[in-house]
Amino acid sequence: MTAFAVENLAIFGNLIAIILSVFVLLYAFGDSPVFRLAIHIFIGVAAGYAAGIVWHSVVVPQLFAPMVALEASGLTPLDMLLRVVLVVLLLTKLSPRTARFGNPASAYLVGIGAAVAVGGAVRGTLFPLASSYNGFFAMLGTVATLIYFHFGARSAGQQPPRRNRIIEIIAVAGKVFITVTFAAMFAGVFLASLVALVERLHFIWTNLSTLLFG
Amino acid sequence: MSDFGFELPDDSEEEAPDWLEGIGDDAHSGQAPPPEDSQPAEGESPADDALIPPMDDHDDDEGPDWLQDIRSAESVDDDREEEPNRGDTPSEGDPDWLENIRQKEQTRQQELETSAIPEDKEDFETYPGGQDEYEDLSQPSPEESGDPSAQEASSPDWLSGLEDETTPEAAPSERAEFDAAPQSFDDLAADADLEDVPGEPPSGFVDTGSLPSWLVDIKRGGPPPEDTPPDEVPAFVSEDDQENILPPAEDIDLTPGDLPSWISESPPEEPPAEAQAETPDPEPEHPPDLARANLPNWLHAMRPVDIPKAPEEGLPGHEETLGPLAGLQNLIPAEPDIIQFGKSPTFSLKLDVTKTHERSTDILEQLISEESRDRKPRISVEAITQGAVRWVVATLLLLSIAVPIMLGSDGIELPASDSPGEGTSRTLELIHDLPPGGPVLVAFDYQPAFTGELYAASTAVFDHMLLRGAQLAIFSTHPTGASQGVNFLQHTLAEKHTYIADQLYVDLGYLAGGPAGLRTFAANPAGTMPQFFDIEGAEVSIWDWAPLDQVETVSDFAMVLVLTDSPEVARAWIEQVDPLLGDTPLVMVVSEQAEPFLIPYYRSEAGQVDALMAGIQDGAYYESNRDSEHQARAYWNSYSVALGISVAVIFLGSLVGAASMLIARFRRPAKEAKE
Repeated sequence: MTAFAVENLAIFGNLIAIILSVFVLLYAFGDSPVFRLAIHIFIGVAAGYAAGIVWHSVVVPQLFAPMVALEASGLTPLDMLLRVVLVVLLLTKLSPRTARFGNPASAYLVGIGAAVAVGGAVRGTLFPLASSYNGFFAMLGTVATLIYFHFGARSAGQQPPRRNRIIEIIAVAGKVFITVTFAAMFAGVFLASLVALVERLHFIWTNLSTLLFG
Repeated sequence: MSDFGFELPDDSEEEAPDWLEGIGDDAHSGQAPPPEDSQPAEGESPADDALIPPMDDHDDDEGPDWLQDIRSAESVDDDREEEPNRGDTPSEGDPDWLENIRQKEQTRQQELETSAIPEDKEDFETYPGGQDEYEDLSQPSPEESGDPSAQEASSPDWLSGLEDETTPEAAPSERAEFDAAPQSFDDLAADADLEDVPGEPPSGFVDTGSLPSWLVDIKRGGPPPEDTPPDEVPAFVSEDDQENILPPAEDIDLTPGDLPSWISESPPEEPPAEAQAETPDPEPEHPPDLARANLPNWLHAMRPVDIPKAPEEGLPGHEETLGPLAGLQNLIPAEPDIIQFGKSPTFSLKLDVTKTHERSTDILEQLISEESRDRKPRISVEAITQGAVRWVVATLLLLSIAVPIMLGSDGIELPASDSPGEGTSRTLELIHDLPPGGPVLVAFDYQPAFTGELYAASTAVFDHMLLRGAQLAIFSTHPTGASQGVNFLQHTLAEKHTYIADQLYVDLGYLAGGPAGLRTFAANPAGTMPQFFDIEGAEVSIWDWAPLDQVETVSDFAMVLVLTDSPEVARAWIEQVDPLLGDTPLVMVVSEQAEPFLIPYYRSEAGQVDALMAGIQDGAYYESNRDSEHQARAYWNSYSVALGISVAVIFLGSLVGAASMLIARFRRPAKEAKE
């Protein structure tokens, strides 16, 4: 492919990117068919690209390449057989009639994932954060937030049921933690979205000025 | 219990037919029977009276009072001039058809006596359809009407043939054929095994429509004649049935207890003298010579004999008297309350629509028509306001971003280089301390939508690392992450750094498995992601290429740099990889939305994250510190203006919202007070 073709292809690609970006930005003024068209294109392209990536980065190097060159891969025949059996069992999930045969493979995956996640959370998050200097503050925020969602109450006589006074006080603190957390999340999302909008408009303007004014 | 073995309805006594009531009254009160010229009742032919044999007088001392009254009436009639016997001698009031019947009977009797029929055979068997003939006798004959065509049409063939026989013009051959008829019928009866059925007389031989014996006796004014020999009972009547036949009249105790209640309860009334005078003798005495000689046997057998006493319900011998099964015996009796013969009720198919129904139908049609009618959506004031505000905010935001970009000036300075963030300063130090040519593992774990933000935050960092001579190994736990990394290295930094693919950086590709994959990769990178590439025609593993040839675990990298927009992905790196890093620093450049969740890991005493940078602001700090202009600088003006406008809009919107809430709160009590 010549340099001219590559340059024209880049210009054509940028033009498509500009059009699709405008379609998406039109959502700021309300839902529109062009917005839906752009969304469908993005989802389709992302799914197709992900499938290709999985095939070339996972299936071929992890399954087919070792089958062709078992010694070079460093795997034993038992390891290779175990991989093939697990893959075949997972493929049975494609049909509802044979889906139950894939349960052992699914259970294996879920079990490994749960064990890794729980072990990592305990060792990588719970213990390190609890032992830090702000561990007490983090613990207080966690307990207060959980108590805020405790709605157990008792009724005294004709009065409406109310929560315990201590629970009420801690729940107020939990409400403060929740408010701050949501505010920080909203601010972070807003800043990230704002930067994304700036980047898109900057891209559109830069490429349009290049196309129009050279 | 009735004679038929089941309970009659209660209203049977109240709604007795008129003719039955008349009979009962006559028998009970001694009133005179209807005059002779009156029409015969149903089931009662005029010839019945003539065919009924005379009854012997009973002892006057026996019987109830009403029977005594009847007898007294008979004695009064004896004093009168005896009327001619209607049974044999035609009277003046008898119709012609009755005379014809009498003549035919006499002729038939004579012929039967002279025929060769055995004595033990029943007379009626000699006549095919004899029962029908008997029934026909009770009906006015066509001859009576005088219509010849009707006579020919109504009379059966065998009857017409019989009539022809009586005529002198009958041919001798026909006569012989008729004489041979009984033998042939006998053969038919033998084939049908009629005689082999013991004790089951043909059902048609008992006239179930005739009056019961006790009513006949009452009408006659006395019990049946005693001289009726028992051997004259037809052969088809079995011995059991003969036993069930009512005993002779003298054995019947006509006490009021045996009579129906409507008879026994009626008080005896003295008939008026005038009626007694006009009432003829209900049963004139038969002359001795005409008592039984002229009565054919077959007709005698078919006379209304005493109906056998109804057997117990469900026992053999029960005879159905009602409905289409009338006359059949040995049937399981049905409950009289259930069976009701008659015309089935008819239901009208026409809808009974009232005015209320019509009104409801109109309302329903109106509702349906309104539903199908196109309506313009009602646009409320709030919807208009929200739409306008949306347009205003969007326009302001776009203008605040587009105008600084179009102006292209450095109107807004970057943050001061002497006051960078804590994470930015730590990142600068770590990159500055990288060994020359040291391998750096870079993870592009973010969605494509956050490319702009992370480019702005990390461009100066990559520039700094490459200037330090770091050799990058890029990969991602997101399918599109690695390609974004390649695009970033080959395009964004292409102006300042000339990259040679596969020599200055390595694309390890996509790492599957999420946290488990990260854990495996941290323990065995080469085994988890085996990649090969061609170098001058030779296939070489990337893990054999320097500087990755010295990497066995993740701790062998000089530094690990993670770019992500997700707190979960960042936590997975911290939890699964950081424990295996050892002294290798973990640097994170993240999106603004993930920073709040990762700050505790950075500020904790464990120091799981060695350096943390977030968003365009830290990127601007880095660029300012590095005295370079990259993506952060390009976006900084628009970002600053748009952020200021956004803060102003949010603040203004909050004020408007609070004011409207306060106004509504003040208006509510006033509105409630008015109401």
